[in-house]
Amino acid sequence: MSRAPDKKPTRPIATSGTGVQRYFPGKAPEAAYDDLSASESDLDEQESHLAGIRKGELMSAEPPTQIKIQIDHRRRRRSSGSASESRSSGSDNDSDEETRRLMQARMRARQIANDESSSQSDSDADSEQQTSAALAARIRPKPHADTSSEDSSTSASSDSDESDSDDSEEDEYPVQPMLKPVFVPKSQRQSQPHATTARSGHPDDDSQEIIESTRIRDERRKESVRMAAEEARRAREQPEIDSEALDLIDDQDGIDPEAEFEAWKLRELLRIKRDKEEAETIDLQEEEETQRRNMTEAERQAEGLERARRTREEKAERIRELVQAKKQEQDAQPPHSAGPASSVSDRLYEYAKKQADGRHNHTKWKGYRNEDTSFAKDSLVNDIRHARKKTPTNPDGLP
Amino acid sequence: MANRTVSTATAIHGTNPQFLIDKLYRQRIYDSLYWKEHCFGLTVTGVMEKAVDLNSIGGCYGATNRPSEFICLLLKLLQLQPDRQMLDALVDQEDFKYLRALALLYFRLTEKPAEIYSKLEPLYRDYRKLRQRQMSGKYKLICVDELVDELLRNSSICSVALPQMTSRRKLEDRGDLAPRLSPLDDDSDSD
Repeated sequence: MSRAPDKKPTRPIATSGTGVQRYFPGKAPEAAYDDLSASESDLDEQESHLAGIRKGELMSAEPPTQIKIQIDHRRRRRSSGSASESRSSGSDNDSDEETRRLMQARMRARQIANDESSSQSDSDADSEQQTSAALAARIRPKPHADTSSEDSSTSASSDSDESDSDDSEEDEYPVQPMLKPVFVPKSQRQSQPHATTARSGHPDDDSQEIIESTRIRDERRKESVRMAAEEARRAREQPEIDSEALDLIDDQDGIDPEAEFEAWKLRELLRIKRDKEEAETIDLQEEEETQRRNMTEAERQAEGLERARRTREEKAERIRELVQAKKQEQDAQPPHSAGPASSVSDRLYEYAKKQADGRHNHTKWKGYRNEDTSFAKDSLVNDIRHARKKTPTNPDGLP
Repeated sequence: MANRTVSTATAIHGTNPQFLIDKLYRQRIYDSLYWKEHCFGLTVTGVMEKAVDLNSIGGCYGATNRPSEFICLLLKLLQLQPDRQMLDALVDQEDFKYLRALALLYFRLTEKPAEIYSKLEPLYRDYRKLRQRQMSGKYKLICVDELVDELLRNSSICSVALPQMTSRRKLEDRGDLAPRLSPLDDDSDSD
């Protein structure tokens, strides 16, 4: 009897016939094209609970049977086409094809969205649906003849169910208007288990799981196409604001020719006037200089003294004017009485104002002399002092 | 190599013509994307084509002294030193006002005072609007005749220090120039 613990029963794992990629060092693994769904992990939760909750409204909810039909069609077609070539793994090529079609569908959706927005000024949901069908008919490339026929047959049935979608008859990835996301508390969420993580060992569930996972994958792809269309539409309708172009002021000539001409005329006249004045001052100066050169020495002396006296008088005159102006300003102010402010409340108000203004400079504390309200007009101390004052009628000063 | 003046160039005001723009602004132009991308290997014809696409005049603006396309092209012209005939043609043409402004500024920087006065003064008649980008980065409208006035009287414009010029008065006294006849003077009866 060994003391080793009992071995746990192992799950049966398939070791052959699976399409699992094995890593060999030095050899690049074949690119996994089908991992689109995995990369859109941030959309997963929203999509899954949206899918769970709003199944009826969200998309042209093709029931799983139709998807299955499509898948089978695709697989059948591919298998018929691949008879000539030997391919390593069927699932990869399926996914390549899928990817390409998905990309095409997204581009188509964007084109449709752009054409819609360019063809009309206001985005009306109803008119979009009507025109999208016509546009899709024009734009949509037709790579396989049988695809279009099968799609039209499958989606024709769904179209009758779904009146809300702007899905055209031939488009398998419809362009949906975006619904407002609603917050759902965790307890009420019906998030689908991730297709790649949920693995139960029972072979009976496999087919069901495959259907589930493909359904989820297709839903996600539809979502991505829808988002591509949405993004294109948004980009078209709200173009980036070019701030440089906004600043540019209009330099177009000829908007108001008469006004411009008048403005030019005014400028020209001012220029002429300015030139004339400058010329005059220069002429005057030149004249003075020539005069001065022609005078004799005595005349120059006299002239110099005369100039000195004149300038001194002018200066005195200017100073007198300034002093007068200052005096008038002082007279206009009320006379300076008991202090900076006469009453207690005024004093306090000024103190409060100074405090509110804050300190910028001269912050050395110089005491509360200015805030001393003892000598203010209506202070109690002053009243008492006045009351106790000795007057001829009241020689003792007692109240 | 891209920033060297053309080897056949003559000195302007005693120096390399590119030195007419201050070292600070010159360096900002050399470092700018427009210069490196669009002004590389340009000929005078190329400068003309670029100038046609200009939409404002101005020097270096903003906190980083970002050069305007106008001043980049001006430096390119200084580097290339077009001949007098070409320059006259650029100044006289009336189709593209920004190209004209560029040529005016170049003329003012490189030619002699008498020629500047005789060439620029007829342009007082042109009252088309130009966008000027100021140092702050904001735009201002200026007319071509105002630009000419500034070129003839001010000491700097568009981040370029204008070389000193003898005053008109002195040239008149010397006899090189006739007194200025304004287009309005011709019409008026006074004087």
